[in-house]
Amino acid sequence: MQLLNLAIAMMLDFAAPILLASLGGVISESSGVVNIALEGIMRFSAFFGVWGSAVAKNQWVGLLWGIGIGIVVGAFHAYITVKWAGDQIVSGVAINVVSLGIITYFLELIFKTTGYSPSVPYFGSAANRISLTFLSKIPVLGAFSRLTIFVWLSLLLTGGLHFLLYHTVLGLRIRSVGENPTAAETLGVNVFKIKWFAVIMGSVFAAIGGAALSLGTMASFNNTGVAGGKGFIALAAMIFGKWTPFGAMLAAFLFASAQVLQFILQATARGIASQIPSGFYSALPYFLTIGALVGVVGKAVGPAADGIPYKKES
Amino acid sequence: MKKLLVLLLVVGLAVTVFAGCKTAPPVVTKIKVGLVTDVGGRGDRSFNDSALRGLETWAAKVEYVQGGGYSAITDAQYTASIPDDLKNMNITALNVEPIVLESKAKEDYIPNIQNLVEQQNCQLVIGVGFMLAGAIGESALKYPDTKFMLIDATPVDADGNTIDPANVVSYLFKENECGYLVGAIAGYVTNTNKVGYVGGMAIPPVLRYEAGYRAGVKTTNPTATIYGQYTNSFTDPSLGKTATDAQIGLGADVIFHAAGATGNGMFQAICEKGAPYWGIGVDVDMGLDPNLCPDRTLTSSIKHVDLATYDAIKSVVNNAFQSGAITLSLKDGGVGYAPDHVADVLTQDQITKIENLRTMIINGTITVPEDPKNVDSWTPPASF
Repeated sequence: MQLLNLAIAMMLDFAAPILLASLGGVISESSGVVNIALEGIMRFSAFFGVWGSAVAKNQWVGLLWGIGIGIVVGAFHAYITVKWAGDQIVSGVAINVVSLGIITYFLELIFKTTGYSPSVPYFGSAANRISLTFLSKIPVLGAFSRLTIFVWLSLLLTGGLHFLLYHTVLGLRIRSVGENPTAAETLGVNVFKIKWFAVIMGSVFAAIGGAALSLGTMASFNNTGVAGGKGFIALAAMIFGKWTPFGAMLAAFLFASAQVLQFILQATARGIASQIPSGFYSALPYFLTIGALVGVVGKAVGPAADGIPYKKES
Repeated sequence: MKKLLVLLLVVGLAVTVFAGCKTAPPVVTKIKVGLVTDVGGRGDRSFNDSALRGLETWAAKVEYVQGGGYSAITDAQYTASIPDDLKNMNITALNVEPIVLESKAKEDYIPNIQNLVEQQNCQLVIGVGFMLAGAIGESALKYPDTKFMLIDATPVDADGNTIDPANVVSYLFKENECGYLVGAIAGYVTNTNKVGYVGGMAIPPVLRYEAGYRAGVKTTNPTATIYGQYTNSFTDPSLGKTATDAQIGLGADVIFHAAGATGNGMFQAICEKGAPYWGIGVDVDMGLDPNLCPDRTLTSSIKHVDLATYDAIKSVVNNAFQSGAITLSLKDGGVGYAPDHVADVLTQDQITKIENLRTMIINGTITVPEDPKNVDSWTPPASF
């Protein structure tokens, strides 16, 4: 039972950054703006989070710095794609590419290295985890007894985003802008404002996900491993989850479960099973994800006006 | 007004161009040594940093400063940089100028080497790591007048066939021997009778570590279970952490990694759990690194990439360069294990036995397997 609890906790830990970034994708694309810059935004905030935490010797400051850079990058993306109706893919790719170069530069400028930053205060340390000791002996629920704040945030924000999108006026407007901006405009919705809001909110979600990578799981930033494609996995989770918050959550959980499962399977492989090449285990999460996509999920249809820049007719 | 400004700028440019000529330093015949890092890059706290220490700190006696320059270091810093087990290796500063290029992707290897040979006129070009075998092999054939050093692999040509050009020296290590000793230590230390192993990619040096480690555990603790796995990444600490958490969940209490930066995640996981879990570092003495987990680092399986790099540079400086493959082992001090917390945990009797095992490997009584597949059929020594 101890192992089950641990496996669930590991799964939640692994899923949190992906889920958070995926939620960012959901809100941004609901308003019709494709955000493939999730990966780059995660990198930015992972780095700025560590920087802030190193400067202030406090992980909360790090998180705020991470969110701050998320707002800046999100505003940039919105400026290009909403204000000037630029190509959303190009802007997203640009952010991803720029994040590679500029962070290497900052890493060298601030930490005198191009590889790995020093360790900083973080949310994963024993004292900073959210301790619910009374749960620890209960099967399954025990997994929730020592989680980081990011896991809780990812779970709460999933519910929060679902409420926002489907049970508030603002959510209805966001979705209407993503489905048919012209119709929304004629009904008096300010399409641009809504898009600005959704893109920046999406970036903030992704930024929290990025901070989860460097300040939740690890206590440092490393240039080659963060985000290591998790932004793109998040994008896949969003599509897999049919552009809904809870769908994205299930997709992130499926992927993370497969990841944890492959580690446990590989470690315990005995006899003939130990002859299976390790590449098979590493590919297992992706196989399972594709399998589920083909077999269970079926056709995923995104917002109708997703990816189409909106221009006012003058 | 605008024209005047342009004129001023032109004059200014011209002046600085000539000023550059005027202040050019007198020609010093420093030997230029180029180094191409693996994708891990500078600051990986492991393999690449070790090679950089051999070149920058020991051979050139300089320290890297941010932005790409170098500053001299003091004699005290120099002495402090040499670990105890290498104090008698006669390491002194050489008349060399280091030029380091970092690789951000595998596609950077060949352009970096080309740059070092053609633009920088380096006499020796060092390729750090198994992944550069092809790049160094191809470049060695293209530039026969430049000397090359390759760490952890023998050069291969474009088709992947091993070649032996007259201008390449390869340094290999018996990772299985140092892996064996840390495995033997882990076998003694475990209380749960379960130990773990986290590998990066299944390439020969890492497989040798695994084989040695498994054989070592089998020697001192034949009944112990070994959980082993490969993350297929040298660069993603979050994978290393998940792997370690899984092994701890299965009951392992001593875990060894040979996974580069992925292994930083192992130390992260060990540090969060604290006692009674122990981590074992790789390549360099990770117990000295305050950014990892010095309190719970049992020992480190060391291979002296720094010494190999230094030796190769020295051979070029002294005109004694010889091509071919050189294998460093326990015998010549090229590999070993770090003391870290060993003396706190093992009894004196156990430490003596570990040292006996070292002696038996050096004099050939024990041959440590190089392939993990051969460990099951391998018989540990009956007495030691």
